Amino acid sequence: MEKKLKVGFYEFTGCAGDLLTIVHNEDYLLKIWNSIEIVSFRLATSKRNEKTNLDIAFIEGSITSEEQIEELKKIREKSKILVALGTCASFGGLQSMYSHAGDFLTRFNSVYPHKFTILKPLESKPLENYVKIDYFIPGCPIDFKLFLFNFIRLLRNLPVELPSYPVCLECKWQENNCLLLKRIPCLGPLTRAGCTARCPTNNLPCVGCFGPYEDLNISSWLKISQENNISFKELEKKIRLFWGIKAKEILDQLKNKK
Amino acid sequence: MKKIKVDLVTRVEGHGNIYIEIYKNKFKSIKFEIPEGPRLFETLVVNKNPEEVLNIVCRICAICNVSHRYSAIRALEKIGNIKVPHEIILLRDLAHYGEMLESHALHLFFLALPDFLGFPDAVNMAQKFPDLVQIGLRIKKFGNFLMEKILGRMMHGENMVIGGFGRYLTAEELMDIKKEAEQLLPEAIKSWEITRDLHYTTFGEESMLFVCLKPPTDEYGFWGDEILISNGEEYLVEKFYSLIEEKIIPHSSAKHAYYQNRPYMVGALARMSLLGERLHNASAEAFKKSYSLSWIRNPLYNNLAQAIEIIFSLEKVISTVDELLKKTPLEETLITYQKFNGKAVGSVEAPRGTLFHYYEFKNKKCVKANLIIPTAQNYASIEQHLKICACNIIKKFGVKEDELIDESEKIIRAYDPCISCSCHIVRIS
Repeated sequence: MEKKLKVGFYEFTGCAGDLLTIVHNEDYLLKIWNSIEIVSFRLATSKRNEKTNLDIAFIEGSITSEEQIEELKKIREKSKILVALGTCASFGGLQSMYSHAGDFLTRFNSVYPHKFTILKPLESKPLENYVKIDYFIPGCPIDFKLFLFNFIRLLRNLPVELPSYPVCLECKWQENNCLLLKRIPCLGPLTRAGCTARCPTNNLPCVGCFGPYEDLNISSWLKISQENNISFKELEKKIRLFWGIKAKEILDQLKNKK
Repeated sequence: MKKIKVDLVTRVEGHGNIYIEIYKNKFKSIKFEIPEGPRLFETLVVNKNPEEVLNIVCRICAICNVSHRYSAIRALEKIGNIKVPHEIILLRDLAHYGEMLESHALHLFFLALPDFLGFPDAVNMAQKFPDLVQIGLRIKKFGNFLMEKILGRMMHGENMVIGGFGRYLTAEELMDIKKEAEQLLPEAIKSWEITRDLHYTTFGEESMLFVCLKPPTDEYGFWGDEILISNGEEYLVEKFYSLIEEKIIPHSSAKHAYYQNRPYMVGALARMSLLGERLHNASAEAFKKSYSLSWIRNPLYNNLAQAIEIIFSLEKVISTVDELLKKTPLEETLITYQKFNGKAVGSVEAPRGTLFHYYEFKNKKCVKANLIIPTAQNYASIEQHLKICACNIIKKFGVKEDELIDESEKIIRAYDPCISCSCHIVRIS
């Protein structure tokens, strides 16, 4: 029989929504369980073996303390493939919204105005700021089908493959009415697909929770936004919501085109 | 000095550890430590408009995302002076019951019951009690199905917004929901019976202080604008919110909340103790057959209270669907608001207790926010009961590490501090 791959699931700072998405798909969970050797998955089992080398490490959450950097580096060292799972691990997520502002200590002290003894807190950053990541699977939370598809690919030694088109296209497939044309700021044209355009299908604007799609048509999006009286400032705020450290690149591109 | 450290890898907003210090065979101190990475949500919502606040706050927790969203909506609609029709509240409640079912099922069947039935985890428990684990899985799945249908996604679905929903359920979807709830109800009653017959270790004689929201009608329910306290006091939510003393504890990144210098408990046990008389039908019967005076002295009964709330939620799903069917198809209402100024507290009962969201707005922009979550309110009570329990054990059996660790974990899990996963490692120094 073929040898099972050794896989670990880890969690840093976040809401646990990505690992929980896996746990909540109980129809598939047992099959996933049986197809691999689980080295660590503290959300679901007490079994763990910290010393074993890993074929694949899936990591949810962003890095928000010195202690987590050390732990992350240890996982990297022993893993052949490291996959950032979810928007926090991939781009920093919501909690990295102000990573460009450099006011972390002020904000930290406003919430915790006391001596903090149990960890050394840091501005939230995605995994790639500290270690090399091989792949990322974005989403807040991840889409289970997109995860499963890529989980199977990884088991077969194939690279992760993400949709190479934006939410806008998925939205068109569902034959929804365009929200931008109704003057609602929607990030569908800029955001990577993978969620089946859930929010626009419910008549609500895309909030960009899957992060940016790299080959986006910025000029066209800017034009439509301007024609519909959506201000650049409003767009900037929306982009910063979920895109963490990636927001800057996109905003720079936008400013150049403006 | 002997120190016992338990690295409970519980999902207590991440991680929680217990430290027990014993000096010359006598109990010295106990700490429930929360080394969770900070996310500073209170600062993330500043400068955002009401819709963006909702995008952000549901993501505080993957398990209670509906409660966070619902609390925020209740605060924001107060600020914007927005009144929504009854059927919208019904649909929101339906999603909220989904969250109760998912969260309670996950906690009760997979985290708490293995402790009581003597198994290390649910997988092992399934070998002797396959039906029980199956029921748990089905209830959890149904809760998630409700949230996915109504909110657009199992978690962090955006469909519930200020003033209503982006999309409403069809009659067919509502019927599917009702059918499954009807099938699950007898199974939920069976699992309550098993939970009732468990052995609950007794504690000291001190009764606990319970707090929960008082539903606006004389029914049992999960939201309201007034607070009930087991000492007989009642307050408007805003008033009680201002009376909560939040203490900052160096060993925890979550604040500890006190009322009149006393720890208090929120959650299913508090709700059942204060509102149980308001139940009807099967949940009322279950309550009558379970409730005793030991409930007010023992947090472990939170598990049994959750089992009754599962029955209640399923019954409410059925009756809420019936009410909604009369109004279906629901018409899309577009809410526009001109002014958005002022401050308000919005509150709902999350699965693990009363949740407070406070916001201040100026010209449609949030200028200040504060959130008091159930687990922060329960910490002081958790530490108090850990202490009582440790003293009792040491007095009775001497310093027995295994006993101390097992019982401490059982207490922490009973409070259901977010999902507490059943795994842990123990280090003794």
